[in-house]
Amino acid sequence: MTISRISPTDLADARPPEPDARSRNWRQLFARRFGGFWVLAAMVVVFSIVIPDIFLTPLTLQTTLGDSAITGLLALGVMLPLVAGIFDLSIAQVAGFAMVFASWLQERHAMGTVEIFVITLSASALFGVVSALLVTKLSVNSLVATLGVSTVALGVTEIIANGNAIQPDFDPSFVEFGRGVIGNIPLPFIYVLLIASVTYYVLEYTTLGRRLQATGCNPVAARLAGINTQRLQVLVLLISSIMAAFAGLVLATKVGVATDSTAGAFLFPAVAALFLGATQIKDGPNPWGTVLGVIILAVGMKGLQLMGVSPGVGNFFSGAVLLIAVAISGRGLERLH
Amino acid sequence: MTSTRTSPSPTQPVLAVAGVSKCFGAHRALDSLTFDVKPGEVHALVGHNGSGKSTFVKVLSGFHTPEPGYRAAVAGVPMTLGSARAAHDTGLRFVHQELGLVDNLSVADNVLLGSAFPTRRLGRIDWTRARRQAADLLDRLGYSLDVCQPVAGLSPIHRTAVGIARAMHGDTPPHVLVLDEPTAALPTSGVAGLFDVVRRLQADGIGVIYISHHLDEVFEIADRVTVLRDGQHVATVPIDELDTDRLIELIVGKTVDLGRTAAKVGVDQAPVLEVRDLYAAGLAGVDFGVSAGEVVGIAGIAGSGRETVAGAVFGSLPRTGTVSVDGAEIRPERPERAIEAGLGYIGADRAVTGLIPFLSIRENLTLPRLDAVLRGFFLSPQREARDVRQWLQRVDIRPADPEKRADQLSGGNQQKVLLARWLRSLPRVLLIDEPTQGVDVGAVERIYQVIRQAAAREVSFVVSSSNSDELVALCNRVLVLSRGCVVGELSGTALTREAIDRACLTGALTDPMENLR
Repeated sequence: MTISRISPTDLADARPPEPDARSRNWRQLFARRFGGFWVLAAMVVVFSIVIPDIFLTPLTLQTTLGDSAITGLLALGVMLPLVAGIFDLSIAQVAGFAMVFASWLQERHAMGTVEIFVITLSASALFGVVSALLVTKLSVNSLVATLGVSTVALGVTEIIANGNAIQPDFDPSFVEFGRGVIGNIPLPFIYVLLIASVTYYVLEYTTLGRRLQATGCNPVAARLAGINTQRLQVLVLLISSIMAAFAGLVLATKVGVATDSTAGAFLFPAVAALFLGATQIKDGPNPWGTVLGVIILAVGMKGLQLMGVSPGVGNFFSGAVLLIAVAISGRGLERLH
Repeated sequence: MTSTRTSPSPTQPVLAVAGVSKCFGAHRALDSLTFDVKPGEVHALVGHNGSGKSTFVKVLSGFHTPEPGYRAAVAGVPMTLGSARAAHDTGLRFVHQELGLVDNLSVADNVLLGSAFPTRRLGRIDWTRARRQAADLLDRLGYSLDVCQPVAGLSPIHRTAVGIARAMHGDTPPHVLVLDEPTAALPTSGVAGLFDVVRRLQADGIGVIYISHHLDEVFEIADRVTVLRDGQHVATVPIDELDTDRLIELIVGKTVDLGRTAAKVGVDQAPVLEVRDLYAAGLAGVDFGVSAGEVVGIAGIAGSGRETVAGAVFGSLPRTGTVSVDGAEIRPERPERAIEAGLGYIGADRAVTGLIPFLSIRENLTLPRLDAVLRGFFLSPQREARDVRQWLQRVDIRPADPEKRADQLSGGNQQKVLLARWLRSLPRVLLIDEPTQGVDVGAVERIYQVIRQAAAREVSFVVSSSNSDELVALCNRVLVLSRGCVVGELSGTALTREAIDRACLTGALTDPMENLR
């Protein structure tokens, strides 16, 4: 090794590429990180021109936001573990369990709102506990562990539903919880905004959030920097299962009929919205990017639906969105490996 | 320059290169090297870490492209360096220290992996032929192994044999075999077996380039030795014209002055860090103490245990034995407890053990001690920015942009971020493995300065390094490790690069006064 007395100027960083870094940042801002806003605006313009009378109505706004709420709640539920490097695939089936279980508690046992809430959330949290044990104690890959838990949750749901559509008779105030509207904004969409805000503050402005991000980016280095990474993994899996249960309760009251196959369909749109969101606003999964992703997806699907395109286009659309998001932005997603 | 032991035909060398250079930025890692290997010759390549020998091996294997203006020929046929494919096809073969075997595949799979398996119609692998080929190759090396067993269960020497057999396999005949630290993973008992294999290859007319830190091995197996130092060719000498002292002299060369850390007064007070009976991977019972503000160095050749001391003490690696800070014992494998007790750790592999990629310099710097920048329950961006700016200035990170992604910094700046991270957490003892490895030259001095300033403020350091000049420059005291044990301790005027290297290479420091010559 040649070590000589050189002037202490740091040679490696005296390299030139700095001058137009600022302008490049601006271009990036428009090209990529905020590209979703342009896509959203373009869709709104196109649909407004093609189907002005049915697209530009308060009702469309209301139903679009309402439709996007469940996807949004689930996407945010997947996002938090993902920030810490854990992929929780069980979220939709846990939501499905919560939906069916809550409806069943009402229909079969005529329980009150508070009891249903408490029991459903705690029962759903058990799935989170199991995932957490598998991931931390047995070092099972989170994708595999939560896929297994997801299937178990579906099985339990099927046993409870027993092939029937459960029609609970919830307390009117509880029904409002899923169906209420403030102005033209459905309550569930307001939950999405609230949860996104809280998540944003936790991730950006708390010790916990910083530690979650560090754990997700490099678990080894995070542990060596004094972070109890296992405890964080347990925590995020618990939170995601509770968020899934919350989404399930919203779904139960919003739909009014609970079947074992309702919630599963939300997994893919939620993941697609999350991945799309991970390319937006900042690199990597983040709450406002996720919300933007959810809205883009919802507006696109609603517009196509109103134009009379076959309902089957939903999966095609979210699949395509996911693939395009992944393809145009390797950088935003590299953090997800 | 004829080989003295085996007497090869005076034909052309199997490998001849001239004028091979490799630069990394302004740093000349290899400077116009001329080197040859004759058929059936073992040509040892020795020198320190950073002497250029691994760069040379990487140039030969095609990993690095050398600077233009060189000449290279294998068995008289001119070749282009810088392509792994071409190197293999012309007959340059390599066995690296880690062997690169796939544990759960069979011996035959491992031998044939990487080159074409024999096939039958429709590309189906002809297993009978494949197994026979593998068995034949091993047979020629003097080993008859069951080629269907997985390599996971093999003894170290058998694994080495499989590694060599794989290197010898290929569609084109091998001419030169490069053995890079082949005994690093071998117990002493396996070395003789390895030498048998090497002699068989010699008899087949293969030229062997033998790279090792162990000089006794070099004296036993080599015909000629080439010594490199700081990228320069020092000498190529027939082994019979050398003795150990002369060879060490050639390897060590002259000392570079990097300044010294001020001597510590009052080192006999109670130690801040006390390590007793430390056992870990490569360590077999190490004891030492470090007092406040003292910089203690750990020296030793690759595989001596030097690389694991810092990690084992901190708890990033499993260990037994007691480690206490200010008298309070720290549980093994609990980094968060170690940090609470006042330890900090910067590993040699910064990208894996230290830096959080995708996060900014700011986020990387404040990570272990976020409580200092809290305002109530929330992180205060203003406080954090102020705190970080101060540290960027103190360790001299340029450009001082706290929002820059840490993984996009140069090696030197990355190391400065980690130093700042840990010094900011006010440790009692900071453990650093290879403080300037992969660090650009300009940053080295600043890093030394920061360490010295911290030491003056009573922060203690344990620094393991493969660079003896660095240990001399930084440390008040250096412990020399060999085979997992402390075999010597150097301090004061006895602490010189020559003394460290001598102690590392001879493996034992019999009389420290002898090194004062």
